[in-house]
Amino acid sequence: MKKCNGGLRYFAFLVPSLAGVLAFVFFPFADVVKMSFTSVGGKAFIGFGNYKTVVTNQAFRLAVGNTCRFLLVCVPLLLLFSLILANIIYFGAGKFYRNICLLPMAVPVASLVFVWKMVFHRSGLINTYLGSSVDWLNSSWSFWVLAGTFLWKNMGYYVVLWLAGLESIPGELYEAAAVDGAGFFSKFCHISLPGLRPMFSATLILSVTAALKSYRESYLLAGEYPDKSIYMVQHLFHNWFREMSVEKMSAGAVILVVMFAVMVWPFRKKGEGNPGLFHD
Amino acid sequence: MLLYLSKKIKRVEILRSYIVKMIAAVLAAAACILSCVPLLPLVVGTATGNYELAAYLEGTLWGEGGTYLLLFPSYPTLGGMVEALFKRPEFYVVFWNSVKLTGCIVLGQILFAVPAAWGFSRWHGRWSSLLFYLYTILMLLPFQVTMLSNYIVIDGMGILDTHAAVILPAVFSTFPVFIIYRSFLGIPEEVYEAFLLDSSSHWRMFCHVGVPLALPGIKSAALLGVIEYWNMVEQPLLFLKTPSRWPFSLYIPGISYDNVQYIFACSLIVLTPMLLLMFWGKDDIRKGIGNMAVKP
Repeated sequence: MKKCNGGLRYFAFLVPSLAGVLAFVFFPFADVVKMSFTSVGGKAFIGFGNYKTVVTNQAFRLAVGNTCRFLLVCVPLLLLFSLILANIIYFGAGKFYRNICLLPMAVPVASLVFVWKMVFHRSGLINTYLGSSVDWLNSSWSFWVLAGTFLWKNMGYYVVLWLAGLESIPGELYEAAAVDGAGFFSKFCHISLPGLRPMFSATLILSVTAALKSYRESYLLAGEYPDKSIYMVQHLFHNWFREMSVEKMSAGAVILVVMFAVMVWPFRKKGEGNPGLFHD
Repeated sequence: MLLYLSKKIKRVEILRSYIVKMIAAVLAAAACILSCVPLLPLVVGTATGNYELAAYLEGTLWGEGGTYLLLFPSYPTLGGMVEALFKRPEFYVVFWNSVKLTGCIVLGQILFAVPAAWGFSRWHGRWSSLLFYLYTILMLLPFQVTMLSNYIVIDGMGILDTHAAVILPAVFSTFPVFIIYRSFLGIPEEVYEAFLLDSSSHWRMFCHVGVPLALPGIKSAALLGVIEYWNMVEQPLLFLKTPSRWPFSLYIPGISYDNVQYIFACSLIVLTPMLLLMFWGKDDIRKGIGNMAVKP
């Protein structure tokens, strides 16, 4: 049990950051919430009218659906592949990978845009060498292109994360298990996975954040109105902002914040006494 | 007989583990190669003249014909590099804009996030958990959701179309708080108790115990921040109207396809600081991430 004296003194350390967050996010967001209940121009109070408009909006449903689909596909794939690769590196071959695994993450998106275009264009590298004519960037394949670039970019960092987790598991456990006759798979299930649990919640949150940032690649490669399969909430809000559809943006923002609040609820840090998912 | 069988089983096992090791090595090698391969066209293209690039990249540039992988230029030329480094004031301006934006943002982030993370790691209670919950939500939200709120404040402050419009909201991002918080959690309670025996100043405890012990985590959060904001696209796109204030991430995708070698050269130049940082900061990142793995 951690001591709890001087709670208010610790709050003092928070004040500068909190002041900025309040000023730049919370207070204006209160304004946005107010806007979401009024009509265009901010005159009349129209209750949930804006919310109804947004929820029945085709584009909004498409965007939310695509974002969920992207998250549900990419995050598990990323965590799984990086876990497998981390195990491979930890238990044997490929220590060299550690030196270059962070390289893809360091490469600026703007540098690579042209290279990705070169590879995935309708008349690009893949189509020329395979003789196909699939429009990788402008058809429903673009979802997998985006997922692929996301995995390429982030794999290295998550391998490092898992490796750090694996290194914190005492080696004697594996040796003891080997003496008892455990094969690799049971060692993995009974030692590695439980030992990695403290990492899991942080890694999950980081990977969701990273997946949502892949909007940058998608914007630079496919523009503001990409193919239907990768039209995500970021595109939608960006386009609403350009049209200045303030009422839709405000209602949509509130809806999304509520959705994220629900999603993050199991991961909150709990008060003294009960460990939350952060504190496994 | 039994000896022969046991030897055979041993041989099969050795063979099986050898095969598994081979597969593992191949996978690891594939991962290494895949990580580096997309950079190859960048490097090769920087040294290739525009005529040759136009021939090889015909498909991508003008939509007809095909695109071929160029491994070594027949007529290598560093014209693009020279142009990017010496002949184009636009590139000079956008590059240093990026440096200014990234530097200010990361410095500000560290300044505000480190005390906040320490406060969160030491302060327990319902209010602390509530605030941390809100910080986590903010961290996950895509920029576009809070874009409108940011715009309202920035417009109200009258700093639209200046660098401050991009720097200020980013300085108060809650992402570094999250990472540095995990590092502070790894510090054992005994260290704090020992310090409290000698002095009761919490500020001193923060400066002399907290920060030095969590320094790898802080450095890795700073490095991650640099990588993140070096790449920044959405905020400048919306808040900076004048092209002379843009960072390079808005300039490079807009370069016309007449001058492909210049695109490659610019891309390579902006990549270099990141490579250097990665090279120097490799150990710090690993140590910082190692801190994150410690059970709190």
